[in-house]
Amino acid sequence: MRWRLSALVLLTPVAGVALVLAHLFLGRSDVPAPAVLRVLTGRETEPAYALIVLDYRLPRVLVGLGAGALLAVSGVLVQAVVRNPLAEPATTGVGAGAALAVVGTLVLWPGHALAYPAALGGALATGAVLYVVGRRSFAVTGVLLGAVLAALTSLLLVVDSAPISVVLRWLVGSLNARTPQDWTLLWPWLVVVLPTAWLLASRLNVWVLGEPAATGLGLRTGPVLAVVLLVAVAGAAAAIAAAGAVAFVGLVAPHVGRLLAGADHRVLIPVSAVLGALLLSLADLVAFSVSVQLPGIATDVSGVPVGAVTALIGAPVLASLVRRENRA
Amino acid sequence: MSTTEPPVLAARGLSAGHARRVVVADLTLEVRPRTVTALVGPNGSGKSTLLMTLARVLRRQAGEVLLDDRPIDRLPSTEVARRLGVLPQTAVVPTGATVRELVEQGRYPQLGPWAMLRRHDDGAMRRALELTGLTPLADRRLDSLSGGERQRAWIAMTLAQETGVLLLDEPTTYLDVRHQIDLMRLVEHLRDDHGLTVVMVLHDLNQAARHADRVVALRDGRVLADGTPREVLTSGTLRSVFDVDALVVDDPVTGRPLFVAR
Amino acid sequence: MITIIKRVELPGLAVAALAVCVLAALCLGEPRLRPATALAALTDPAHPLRVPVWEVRLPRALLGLVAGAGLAAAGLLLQDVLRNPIAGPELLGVSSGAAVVVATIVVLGLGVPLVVQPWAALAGAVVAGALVLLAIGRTRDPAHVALVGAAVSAACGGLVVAVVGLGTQGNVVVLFRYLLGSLAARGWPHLETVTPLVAAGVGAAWLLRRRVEALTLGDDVAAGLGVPVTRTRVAAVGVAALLAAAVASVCGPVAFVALLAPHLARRLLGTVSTRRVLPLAVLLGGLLLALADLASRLLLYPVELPVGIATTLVGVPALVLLSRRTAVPA
Repeated sequence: MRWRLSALVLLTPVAGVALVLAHLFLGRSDVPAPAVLRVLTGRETEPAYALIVLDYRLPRVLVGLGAGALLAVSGVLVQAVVRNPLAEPATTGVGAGAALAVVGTLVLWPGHALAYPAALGGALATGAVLYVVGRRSFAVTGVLLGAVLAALTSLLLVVDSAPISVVLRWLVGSLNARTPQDWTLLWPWLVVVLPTAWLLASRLNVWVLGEPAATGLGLRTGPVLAVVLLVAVAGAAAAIAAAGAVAFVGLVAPHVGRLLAGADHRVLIPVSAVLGALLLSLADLVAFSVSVQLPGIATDVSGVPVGAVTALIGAPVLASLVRRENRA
Repeated sequence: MSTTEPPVLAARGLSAGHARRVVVADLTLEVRPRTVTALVGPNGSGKSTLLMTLARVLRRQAGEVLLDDRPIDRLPSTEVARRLGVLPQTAVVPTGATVRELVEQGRYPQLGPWAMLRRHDDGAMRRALELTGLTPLADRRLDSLSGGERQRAWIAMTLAQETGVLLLDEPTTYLDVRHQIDLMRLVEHLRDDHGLTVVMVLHDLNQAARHADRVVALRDGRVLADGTPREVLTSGTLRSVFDVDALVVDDPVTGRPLFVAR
Repeated sequence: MITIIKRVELPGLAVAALAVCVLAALCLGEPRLRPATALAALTDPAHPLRVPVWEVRLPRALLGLVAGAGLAAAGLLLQDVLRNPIAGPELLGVSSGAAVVVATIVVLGLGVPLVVQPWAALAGAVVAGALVLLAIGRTRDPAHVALVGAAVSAACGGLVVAVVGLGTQGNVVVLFRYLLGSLAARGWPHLETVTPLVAAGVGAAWLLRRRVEALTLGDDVAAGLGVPVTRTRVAAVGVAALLAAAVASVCGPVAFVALLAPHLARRLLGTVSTRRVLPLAVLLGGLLLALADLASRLLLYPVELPVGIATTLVGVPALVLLSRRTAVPA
């Protein structure tokens, strides 16, 4: 475990820097590499280049890193709450809640830029509903709640199909066209959620032992559960509002984190955060590099939503999780 | 064992149960320090419910539980956890955790706000692992252990809490004969050499007779018999508590009562 | 009510309700018809209203019955062989796996004949279902099943969205058919595709009923009773996958009928015995889907809802209510 952790500590900064640079140097519009360097050192005279690098590419990679970290930490917390490593932020139905709120506002007040607050509010409200109705089994309730919310979303879309292309972003998750404003809205959540989650770590270590044992060890399980769920939902809500309901990052990052760092939440939370950030950002790099030319479709399709990429990465990881579970 | 000492743990007029179902009704019980008490009774008699309510894991419906003469639910939960350890019956296996990581959780009540382990915590964990014979398995993952080893790991976690009172719910479940005997000896050792008070739910009446100072027999949430093993484990009580026809003879090894079904 | 009376009367009532429901489906809508007119149009090939009644409303109503019946049988088989109250094609990824394949075929215009589509869908259903079944292993924990199923369904949903994203904007509306299920614009060819498969599947379920019932008592007990445990489980899950895939290939993954119908039948009959529950569950499945389709056709008329919305919005609360008083955790 120790050597793995040290390798992680040494390698992740390298990987992170490499990823950020890749994002800054690559992209759909052509910016010559020397120009990117000049932009980064503040010596670029061509405003279009500066705009592309600083206002398009930089926010995109930052939002990807931040949302990935939040999803991963939220995943760790949700897995702890339901005491099952197969849970992820989507288990709580918050993604479906965000999508419903976004569609609802687009149908009711078309033309207003309410998507961000709507996604955030919808996700948080769903978390609150889950806390109230889901005490018996958060996993089953969350999944059913998600199904109902998705059906309501579809109901709205059948009535008014105008928002359909917008809502696809929230349904699968996409980092296309992120702006500096998105990053401005995201980073305060990082600053609040990540440290709070880490401060909860030793309580989570006790909570996962089960309600009787946790009470026996002096943990006040009611308040702890409420706070953990709140932090988990807040993290997922912020990430979803910024990047859409990207699947599997919240499942894969904690899983790999456990392999590398073990089950202690004091280590698992930071490790998963880093892994989630790298994972989402890497998947985004793949997503916008992919250019698909399919038979039967005339247009060249480039820029797959990042959620589709994470879904493809997620399936084999889920399978490996499964194998480990069954061996145990 | 002295009867004049104040009880370390007591229930007064205690009613408890799950949801609206009353399992234990108006029960009074006092546990003296440095004694081993066994709770026995048929399935559904309320033994575990009583134990978990004494441990404030289940909320009581009426009456009160006193720890060192103070109502247990007025004490902060970590304060209780420093004096009283609980081994529940159904324990979750946390994903990927090792034995040492589980045992470490026993130190949770003692940790400061920054949750850093101190030297004394290391010592407590080492002793707990040694007492349960788990030192060689300390770095194994829990999900790779046998049921018995896992049960011992949970016992080690409870011991690492270093409390004066231990409440054990069917601690011998999953253990083979040797480890059952080891555990019972460990309980006696903790009482004799460390002055611990132990209350445990046992299914095996002979185990209770052999290792407990006091046996409390429950049926339908009421105490039917309470006293030394010799006083409680008689043919008459066994019939009224368990509906079994049994012969009670003297154990040739310990001289305690030994129960043989007829 | 005495059980024996229930056993005779309940299926009778269900059949009567089905007949009323089909008749209502024939009459309601635009143009609205009197029952006599509808029946006349049904029997007389030269009737002026022959087309709406015979070509549009009747196949659609019958498709609802058949699809619902197939889903209910699939749900019952899965719940009983996996001994899990929330096992159903919608939560085991089976439906969404089938939907990915069908969506791909339709959106990308791959030109696969209608008759072949159920078999292609079956491949998707089996892959997704196998992943979920491997994942849940021997556990009976409903939470575990829900989590794995949700993850696999999410992956499938992501794939459907990605596939739809590759298509043109017009096809985006198609998305909801394959994410939610719909009976709109289905005719005789669809019915002819799915009916033999559902009939075969329900028949197979009937043949398996005693073995499946033995499995509900536990693998060891079933083996002790001489039931080939693994073979029975594989056969039952295979039949369920076929049923779900057949329905999904034509209607998309209509959710919560498969989960709800068996629970409702168990509650009405007051028994969990597979062979007693099966007939009523199949009837109720057909009735539920036919009713849901009628509602989704008329509720917001002239806008038509995908029937999957109606089954979800009704099915989930009903499931939660049912589970309140039975052993089903929700």
